[in-house]
Amino acid sequence: MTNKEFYIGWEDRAPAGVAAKTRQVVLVLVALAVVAGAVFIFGQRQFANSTFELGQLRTLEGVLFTDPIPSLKILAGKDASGQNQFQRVLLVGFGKHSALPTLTAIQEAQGQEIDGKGVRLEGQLIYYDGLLAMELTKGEAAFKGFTDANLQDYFTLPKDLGSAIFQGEIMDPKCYLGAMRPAEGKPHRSCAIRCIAGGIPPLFRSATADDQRQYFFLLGYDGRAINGEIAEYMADDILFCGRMEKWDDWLIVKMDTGKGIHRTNPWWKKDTSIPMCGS
Amino acid sequence: MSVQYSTVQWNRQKRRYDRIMLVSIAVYLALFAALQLAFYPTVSPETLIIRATGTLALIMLHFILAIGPLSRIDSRFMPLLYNRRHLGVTLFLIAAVHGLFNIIQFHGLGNEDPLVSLFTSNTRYGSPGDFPFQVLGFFALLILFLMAATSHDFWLKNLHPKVWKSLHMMVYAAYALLILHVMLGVVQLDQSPLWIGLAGLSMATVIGLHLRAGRLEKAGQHHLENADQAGFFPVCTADEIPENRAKIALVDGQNIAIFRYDGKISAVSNICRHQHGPLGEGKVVDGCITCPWHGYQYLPHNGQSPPPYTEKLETYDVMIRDGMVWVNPQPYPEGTERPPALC
Repeated sequence: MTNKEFYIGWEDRAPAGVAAKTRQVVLVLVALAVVAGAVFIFGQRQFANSTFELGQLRTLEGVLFTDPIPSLKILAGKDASGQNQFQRVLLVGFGKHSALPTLTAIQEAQGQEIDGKGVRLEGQLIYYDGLLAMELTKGEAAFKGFTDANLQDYFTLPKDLGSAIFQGEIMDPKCYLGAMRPAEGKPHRSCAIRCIAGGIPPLFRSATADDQRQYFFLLGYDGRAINGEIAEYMADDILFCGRMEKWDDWLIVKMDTGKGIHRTNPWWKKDTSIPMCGS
Repeated sequence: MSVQYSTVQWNRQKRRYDRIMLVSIAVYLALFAALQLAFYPTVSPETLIIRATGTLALIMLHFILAIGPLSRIDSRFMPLLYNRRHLGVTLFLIAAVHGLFNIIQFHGLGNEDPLVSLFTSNTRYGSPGDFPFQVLGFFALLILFLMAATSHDFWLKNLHPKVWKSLHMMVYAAYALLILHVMLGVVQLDQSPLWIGLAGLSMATVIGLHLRAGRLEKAGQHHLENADQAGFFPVCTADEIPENRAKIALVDGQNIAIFRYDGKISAVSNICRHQHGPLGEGKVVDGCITCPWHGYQYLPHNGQSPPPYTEKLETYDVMIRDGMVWVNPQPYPEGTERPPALC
């Protein structure tokens, strides 16, 4: 014991010296806590300027495509020559789920094919860095009717852009475009795996050293979904070989999983065997 | 001290403790939210809650771990120790909000049960670098829950103080898990020297305080040697024990507090029956040995709590020979009256 005063908690009052010291200590501890919190705040990474319009339902009109990835192709304006410009809106389900079960339910309720038809859909928009998605929040009730949009006016063939080696990170687009901030790296890995396991199409982000980013939706080499095969690589820096196609404003990479998916980061698991694309 | 259980035995100091604690927590959360929204307006509400509660829980755990050794180093920190269990229960509640929001955010609304997903989404358990850090946080929260759920004196009594104490020492396991949770989560993502430095500094502070308190505790203990034929060991001269205070003696596996009061010397177990507090660091108040931790009291000559209370300590024979205090480390059953030595 370093002082003559003796503190007993159940007594009404603490000895004067102890009480004065306690007041000082509490003030110092609270100040320390606030400083530690402030250091944490000012030391953290900036958050992406992505948006999830939570609680705000909007209706979009366009032509629905379920293949290769569920999307609503909407008219985005006209170019200088008067040609229609289109934008693909990624469709996702509520929570960590694909839009496909909802679209199937809508089709069954309508009693007719909805793929390739003009439709009006209601949902919450999610957008970032030029990409747009819509969550069909209310399930089957997202369907607000058919429109007279003509498939022929909206149909374009994909352009083959050839094979290349791709390096970057696979992420789940729903979180990355705004449902979560931050939505990348190891802390988000579990969530990304859960989203991909739920059928949300994987998005691949490739970035240059000065953070010039490019986005690609990922499919298997034969155009099928490969969510199960790539779940293990979510939130990793990877390198792979693939064939790139342009679908309107989207880029899609068909991964050549036969040539392997190679982790490039961190250094202790770096795989230096670069795949030879096109061979 | 108690003769019957009540939810909380409120008194003025407990009420003040809780009031100050809750106001401090509110101030922290309000300032954290204000600064976060002012400088990082694009933060999502869930992330704001997760980060505010996560940082607060970590800071509170450091305080809780520091209070014990600080009280040993300087008794004027005792008021912070007195109601530490309320701080601990509040820490669990804040950590639970952090954990709950994380589980909902990262694992909810998917094709798997959120708790199952916690363990099965990232399965790189064999890799130190990729280890699923959220699982570490879950087990730390589980320990904090066990501690909060058994914090009441009912459990202390019914689990037996030794078991209860061992259970509550698991706070150090929870601390280790939480440090790993942070290091393999946000620190690994950002790889910022600031986070690494802060984590190192906070761990060094907690470990350093414990080492210093341990050294002080050791310095205050007398390891006795050279018994006489009757089995008595020499401790110190009677004058070396301050009035109404004690010397602590370790001998033959016994931890003994030898008190001087009203011209008498008595020896009892140094371990309080409540939470194993160091009675020898206490004081004789109103004729009773008073534990420095929570004020439990015992009569020096028989080790019994004054009626109606029922706690009892082992007692020991003491005598004074040529001004020297001698103690026999053979304990008498709890509550056995032994005549004090007169000095």
